[in-house]
This record gives sequence, structure tokens and C-alpha cells, in this order.
Amino acid sequence: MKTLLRLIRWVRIFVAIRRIRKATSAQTEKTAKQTLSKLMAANRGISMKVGQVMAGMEDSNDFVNLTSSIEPWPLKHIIPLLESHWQTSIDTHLIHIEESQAAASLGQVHLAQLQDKQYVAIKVQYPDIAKAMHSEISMINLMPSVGPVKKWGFDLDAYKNNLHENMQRELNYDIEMQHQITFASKCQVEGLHIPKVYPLLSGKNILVQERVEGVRLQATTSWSLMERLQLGRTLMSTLFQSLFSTGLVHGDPHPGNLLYQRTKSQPIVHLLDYGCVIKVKQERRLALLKLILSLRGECQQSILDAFVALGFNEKKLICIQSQLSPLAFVLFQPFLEKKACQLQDWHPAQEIESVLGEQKWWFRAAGPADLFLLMRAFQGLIQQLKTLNVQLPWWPLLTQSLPKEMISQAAYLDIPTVAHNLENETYENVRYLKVKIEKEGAEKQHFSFDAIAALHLEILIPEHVATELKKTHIDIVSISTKLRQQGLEKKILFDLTIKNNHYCAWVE
Amino acid sequence: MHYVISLEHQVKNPELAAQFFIDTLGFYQTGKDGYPFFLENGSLSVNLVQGESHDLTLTLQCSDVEKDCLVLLKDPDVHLLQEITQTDHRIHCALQCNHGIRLILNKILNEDDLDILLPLPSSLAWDEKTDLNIRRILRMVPLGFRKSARQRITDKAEYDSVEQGSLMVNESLAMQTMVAITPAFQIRALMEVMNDEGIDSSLYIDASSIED
Repeated sequence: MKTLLRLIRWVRIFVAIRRIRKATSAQTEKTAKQTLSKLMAANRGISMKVGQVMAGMEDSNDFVNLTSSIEPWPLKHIIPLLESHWQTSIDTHLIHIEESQAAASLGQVHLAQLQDKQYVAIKVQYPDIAKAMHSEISMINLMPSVGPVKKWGFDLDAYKNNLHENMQRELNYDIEMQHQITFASKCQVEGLHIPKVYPLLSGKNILVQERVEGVRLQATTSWSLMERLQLGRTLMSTLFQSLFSTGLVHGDPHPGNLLYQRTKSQPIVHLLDYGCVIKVKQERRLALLKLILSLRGECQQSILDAFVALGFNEKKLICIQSQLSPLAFVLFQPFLEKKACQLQDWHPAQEIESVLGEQKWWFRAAGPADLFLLMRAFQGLIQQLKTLNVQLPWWPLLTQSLPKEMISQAAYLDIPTVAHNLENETYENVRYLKVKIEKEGAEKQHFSFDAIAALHLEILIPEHVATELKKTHIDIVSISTKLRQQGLEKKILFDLTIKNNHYCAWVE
Repeated sequence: MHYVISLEHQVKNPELAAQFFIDTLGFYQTGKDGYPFFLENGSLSVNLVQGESHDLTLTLQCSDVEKDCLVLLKDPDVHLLQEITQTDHRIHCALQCNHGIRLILNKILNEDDLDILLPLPSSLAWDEKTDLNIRRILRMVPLGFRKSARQRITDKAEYDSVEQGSLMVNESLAMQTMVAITPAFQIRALMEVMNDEGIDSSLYIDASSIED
């Protein structure tokens, strides 16, 4: 019954999302967003997580409610959970404990004071949340492959697995505590404070940590320029050091997880909630650094090979190989400028659109599933810097966040050359592979790729189309094989109509 | 889209009006067939046609409104319509001429005319005195290059400052940057301006290395 109710809530959420998409006036959109925000909050669990993602990193929009104003459970329901975990009365450990002021997606936080007078924040997981999450994850597993996911061949299973693994980690506060301890010991950034945890009082469903004082990002906008610059530097250095040097990135930088505090010496950033931490292996970190170094002209590196080393799908990238270089310059622009980066003038989404057009989806589909979380960490940083209204140069702050030897280590990193790297080969007479699929006279899909993509038709042509073609004895794998043997020239690869559907591919 | 635009002006006597355009405003006749009174001065084309006279107002961007006004008033057909007036951002006056032509002589005032020091396009915090000194020193840069010089010194000083671990641009770094972005032939002038501003230029410029 509970599962059914949650399913109904999910359906209502999707309806609300549809309303937002189809809203014709700002007022309707606002109302729909507020409705969606309430529905997501009511559902807690994954829907609330999704809501937090939709809230983005801005600290002033309709989804912010999700991070600040959801009705928490009363203390009387929480005390038995604490006593059960501690196997003793709460008075043994606590002088006092307060009602929670705000609920979160998987649990809620109570401020308290320990018997040794230390002030702490106790995060308690909702007792039924793990079960509810399992049923929601099962529902997500039923998610069909439709829309851009199907059209551009996203590896949906990888995304589902990634979500599943993250949720499992987030449900286990022991893991979160370990991440917090590791982060605190490895990420040493001026102005950054990571609350101390109390392992002996914590467990799988309870996390006791030092209580910190501070305000949310929006409140810092009136602080002095120097204070805001210091905060900006701390935020940037934290992400750079954690990504490149430590390999452990805080993956949930929504406004509720950062508190800012004024002190006499310099302002402090308190970074909270280590439930979603992204681990990045050293070879990927060095490859990313080498890619940036090569874009800065400080070393030589094939862009394709570097992206593949970052976890991108090699065959998919080859199809848009000629656009990878301009794309990389757009993506990494803040690291390339020899001045304070003016984020208000940097519009990567529009610039990616102008470089790739519709193929931006192809690029995204080529990316590894965990890239979404890393992108989110950067998105969070950019939003924070925009809210602080500070502009800083990125490259010096990145280099200062790394151990000295890391730059040369990256510059001399030997990134494997991918088997199909054809960067040095040119085809003088052909430029594009065009694929057109029409359903009952209407143009449904029209792709344009580098001509080289014709050598890999099997990854370009949607599976259901390939199956249809096979029925008429057109085998796209053999077409590609033949092209590889004979070379590329202007020609029609196939052009046929099956049951009112027209399929055509040609090299031009 | 780019169009070459010409202005058509109706006058009673195109021949006399053309003479005025040529003698007083420096236009020349292009002499195209079928367009005997087609005139231009490099930035504006005027086609004079015969008809009922209409009013035409031309705004002349001048570097010296007073001087140009006096020159134009020497023409007996030109009369002062409005005295020279200065507002916050411009100096202007109006003249009435024959053939329905009214001239506005205009000058947009620049930072030097207004005797102001424009702010640096800064992102970091700057030491107050340093900020003022750099803005003063920048006055040595010819006006046409000053905006770009202002941007360059700000960008470089801020980048170098962060590279050295500071979020505040101090005098030493700002002056080093100023020297770095100044062309060799202007270094001596820079040295003098620095000294005039009470900055010890010898800390940043080796006088013996300056070429004559």
C-alpha cells in the first residue's frame, strides 16, 4: 500500500513537471514549481533529492523550500531512536536536545549539547526511509529508455547503477562519517572548516558532529569585497584540491550544505553533509589536468585521448572528433584565461550549443555516468561565485591547490592513444556522414556527424532501426567494415522505405 | 546588414545650397550622371533636390566647438541660434544657415576634458592609494589607447597578485605591472610620471637601461 501511495505521488510529481514545461506564463510556472516543491518534500527520499538537484545551487528559488522548510518529525519520535542506538538513556550523553528545525531528504538534524559541554548537531535517519528508498529505486529501474535517452544512446543502466550506489552510500551514515573524516584530514584549505565527527556516538543511522554557526550564501552578499573574495577563494580551492589532489569530491553542493561565518581573521566556509562524495581515480585526475595543460599550450595532448582517459566512450567521441577541440576550449575556458574569470560573460550552454548543436546530447551520452555529479560540483561552485559576485583567476588558484610535483606529473603523463584515433588522417573529399530517419513522411531524426563516423555506424544507428534494416538484409556492421577496407568516399550507404518509414544514410 | 545611406534634402535652389555645402561644410560634388547635386564628405552623402524647402538638422562632431563655431560664423549666411552650452557630458551650440539647414556643433567630453579619473575595471580589492596612483599614471597613455591599457594593467596585476597568494593588489605589484605593460619608448615618461606622483621609480625601473 505504501509503495502504491509513493507511486501515486511520483505520478503527481511528473504531472507537475509537465505543467512547468508547458507553462505559458511566469505565474503559472511559479505556481507549478511551488506545487512540485511541496510534492517532492512530502515524498522525502529520492524525490526530495531530485528536488534538491532541481533547486540547483541558487539560494533563492521556489525549490529552496526543500532545503529549509519541510515539516520535521517531533523530537518524541526521535529520542527512542537515539536511545536504542546508544543503548542508554539520552541523558547519559546529552545535557539537552532541541526539536529539529528542518528536515532533509533522508533524515533530520537536532541541535544538542553533550555532557562534556560540546555543542553538537545530531543527524538522525528516518526509520522507514531505507525501505522506501529501495522501493523507489526499484521504480527507477523500471524507467523506460525514451526521448533523448533512447535517441542518443545514453547508457541508462550505468546511470541507474550510479544512482543506486549513491543512494546506498547516502543511507549509511557510517560511510558518510568516514568520508567526512577523510575529507577533513586530506583537504587542507585556508578558510575551510569541516565539522568534527563523534564516531563513538555515531552509527549507520545516526551521525553526531560538531555544531557550527553560520549563515547561508544569500546572506553573505552584503559582506565586504575582501570577505567575499576570501570565501570565493576557499570554495574554489576546496573543489580544486579535493578533485585534483585528494580525489574525493563533495558531490552535493546545494545551498543547505554550506554555511558561512564571519570571524576576526577571515571568513569561514563550513562544508556539511558528506553523504554524496565522488571518488576520482588518480589517472583520471591527471588526465583532466593534462587536458587543461594542453589547452593552455603547456604540453601536447590529443583531446580525444584525454576525454577517453576521463571515461568517455571512445567510439561515440570519434563521431564528433572535429568538434572536440573547440568544445574543450569552451568547457575549460575559466582555466585558460590570464585574468580574473568574468563568469557573467561565460555562457557554456549556449557556446556548446553553437559548437555541437543537437549533438550536445551525443557528447553527453558519451560521458561516464558519474560525470553528472562532477559537473554538479562545478555548477555549484559557479553559482556560489556568482551569488558572491566575485571574479577570480582560476588557474593560479588551481596550481596553488596542488602538490608542486603534480603539474609536471600530469604534463608527462602518458595517456594511451585510442585504437580508433584518426586525428591525423584526413579525408579530402568527404566531410560529413548524414543520417535521416522519416516516419510517415515527417522528418523524425536528422543527424550530421564527422564523415569518420561512417566507420562506426553500429554505434550511431539506433538499435530498433538496425533491427529493421537487418530484416531487409542491410547489415550496418558490414557497411562500416567495407568502408574501413575501401576508404571513405561520397556515396549513399543505404536508402530504403519500410512500412512508411524512410531510412537514409550517406557520406558527403 | 550594411548599407551606404544617403540623405535627400529638398531646397528651393539646389545650386546655391550645393555651394554652401562645398564652401562652408567641406563637401565635394561626386558628379554622377543624373544626380548633379549629389555631394559627399566621406562620412555623409547628401542629394539635393529642388522643391519646397524643408528643415534639415546636421550634427557636427567637433574637437573644439568654440573654434569651429567662430569659423562657421564667418559665413554671412550662418547665424548663431544657441550659445555654446556645457552639460555634464557634452559641449554644444546651434547655428542656423540658409536652405533650411541647422547645424549642431557638438563635442562629447572625455575623461580628460572632464578632469576625472575613471575607475579601474577591477575584480580584486586594491590598496586605495595604489588604485589612485595607477589611475593618475594612466593619464600619460594617449586617450585612444587608455581604455585598453586600463584593462590590461588591471587584468595582469590581479592575476599576478593571486598567483603570489594575495587577494589585494598592492603598490609594488601594481607598479611592476605598469612597467611591464608600458612600451619601451614610453618607459622614460613613465618614470617621470611615477616620480611626480611621489613613487620611487628606481624601485621598478633601472634608469641606466633606458635607451635614449
